[in-house]
Amino acid sequence: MRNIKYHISNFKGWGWVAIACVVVATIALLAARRPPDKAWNQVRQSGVVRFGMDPNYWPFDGLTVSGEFAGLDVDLAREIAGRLGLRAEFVIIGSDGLYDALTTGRCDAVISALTPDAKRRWDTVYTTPYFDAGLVFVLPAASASRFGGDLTGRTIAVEFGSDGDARARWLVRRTVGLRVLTRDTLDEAMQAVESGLADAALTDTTTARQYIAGHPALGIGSRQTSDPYVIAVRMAAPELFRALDRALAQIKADGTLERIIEQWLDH
Amino acid sequence: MESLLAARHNILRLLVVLLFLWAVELPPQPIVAVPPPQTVHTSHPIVGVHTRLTDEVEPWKVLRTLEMVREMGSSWIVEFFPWAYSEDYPGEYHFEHADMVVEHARAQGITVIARIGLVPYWARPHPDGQDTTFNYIDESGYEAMGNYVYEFVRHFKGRVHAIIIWNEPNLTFEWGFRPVDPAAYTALLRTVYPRAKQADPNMIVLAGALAPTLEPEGSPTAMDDLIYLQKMYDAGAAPYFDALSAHAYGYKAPTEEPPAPDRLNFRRVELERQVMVRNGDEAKPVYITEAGWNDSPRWHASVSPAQRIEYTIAAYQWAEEQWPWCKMLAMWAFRYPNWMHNWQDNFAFVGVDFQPRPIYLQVQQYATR
Repeated sequence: MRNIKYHISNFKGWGWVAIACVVVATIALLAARRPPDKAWNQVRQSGVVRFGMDPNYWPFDGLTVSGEFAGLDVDLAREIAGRLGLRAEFVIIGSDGLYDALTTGRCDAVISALTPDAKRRWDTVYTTPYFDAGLVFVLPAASASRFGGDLTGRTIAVEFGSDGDARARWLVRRTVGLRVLTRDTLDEAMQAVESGLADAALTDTTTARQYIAGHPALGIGSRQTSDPYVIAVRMAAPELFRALDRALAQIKADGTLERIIEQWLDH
Repeated sequence: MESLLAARHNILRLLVVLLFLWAVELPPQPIVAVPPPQTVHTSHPIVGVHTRLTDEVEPWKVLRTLEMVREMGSSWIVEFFPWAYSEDYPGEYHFEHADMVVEHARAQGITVIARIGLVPYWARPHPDGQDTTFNYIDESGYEAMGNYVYEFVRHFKGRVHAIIIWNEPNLTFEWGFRPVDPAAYTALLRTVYPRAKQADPNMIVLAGALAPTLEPEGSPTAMDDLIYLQKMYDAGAAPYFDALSAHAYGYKAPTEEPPAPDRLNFRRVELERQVMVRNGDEAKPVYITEAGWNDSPRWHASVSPAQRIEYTIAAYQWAEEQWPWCKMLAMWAFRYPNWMHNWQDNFAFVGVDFQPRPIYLQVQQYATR
């Protein structure tokens, strides 16, 4: 033990420099051995980033009558590609096959109203979210900011059998005095709020924004659940991922993202 | 005297350590035991559901799911048993999870139909040469799949009612992102079927499980199910399956909408049946192993939640009253182990948190009254 202390106390000067050199060389060697990001290289060479998409989810992912891609995701993908000096192309993939399409290189990234899947963390990375589609309360605009915390004694309107209905049933079991008004259609549930029969309706964010666009007396209250939409990239494409995520951050920061969302949901 | 005491202490310490090691080396005991046998009380024995217990890790969730299936009045489940999960290395079989699912189902009085697919890495081309998906199999892997099916059937003899070979081979994605190939799928059946029968001559082997689609021949994404089925017969598939597995999704159409070759609806399965009859296979029954409507507010082919309930119950009725050749109708999907956070969640009967959705309660009322 004494010898070890002796050696450590005398291990200075060139000894530490040598260790530092070994550490730096090892890191450099490991970095050099990391496989190149083939996807990013290909994207840069071709000037095109291929987004996998299931175009069956309006207003996010769709096709026009003439077969052109359209929707919130399409505009966002084009904006991101543009910021990187690239062009966006879209590859039609069924929703079941989106991840396999990434694996086999049929597309470079997936943008398709996709939420992160914990089971895919081993081979997939996700950008920061660009939209949250979770359930929210819809209620008279004047009281929107005051509603949400205590639901005791409130009445919530929902469409029968919808996600909002399922959530309301969950809330009822946990809230004393909460009443649920079930209606056959979403419109009827919203009308119950407008007529004062219910304090709020519970529905997903997209539906809420689209409905409120035509009914300005209503507003969005507190969020009940979260469904964040993200872009997926292969783990083996870290440079492509960083580029897309950086571009998305820019688009968020300068207000472009909100403008795209407003264009598709608030009219 | 002191040394004697010290020796006793040391022996005692050693015993404690040995006891600890023995305890930690014991195989883990089941926390959720298989309960006493139950019976499904149903007035409509055709009612079935497709469960998703493959990725359900916790035994209590498997148990609760199957209890709820029984309580809904469903006598059948279709469940996926991935080959890649059970044969990590060639010839090394692990059926622990599959055993748990099957035993819990049997204890609830539920009949199990097992779908087999998902190819392990070692039965696919080496990834350095070609990136392949779990749905990729070529001729070099057929024998390995035959061996696996033999082991699966032997292991579950008398406990599983039927097996389905592959899923929706008429979709490019389900065929490993290659052009779909009915002759190749038939060749797979030709290899696997005899191995299943060798393990248990009473095992019912289902083929097909075709996705309803109108994609023409040569499409990069799929092949029309009616064309694909005929091509299976043309390739000589008939002797290599005992019954057809069919998928009967309703999309936007109500249950009773008549079938037509250019329409996707619930009754399209009648056209698949016509293909069977045309090919002299009318004696074989059909098991509908996936079906249903989706009530997402945004998916292009969904209906409202109320319509979904109405159409689903009408579908069970229709199959029972109009289709004598239909043995079972399983709706997709009972419950997912995790929310998928997309439109596919709107196929579920029960939430991830086991909260029954209204469709569950309505089907329960129909099946158990």
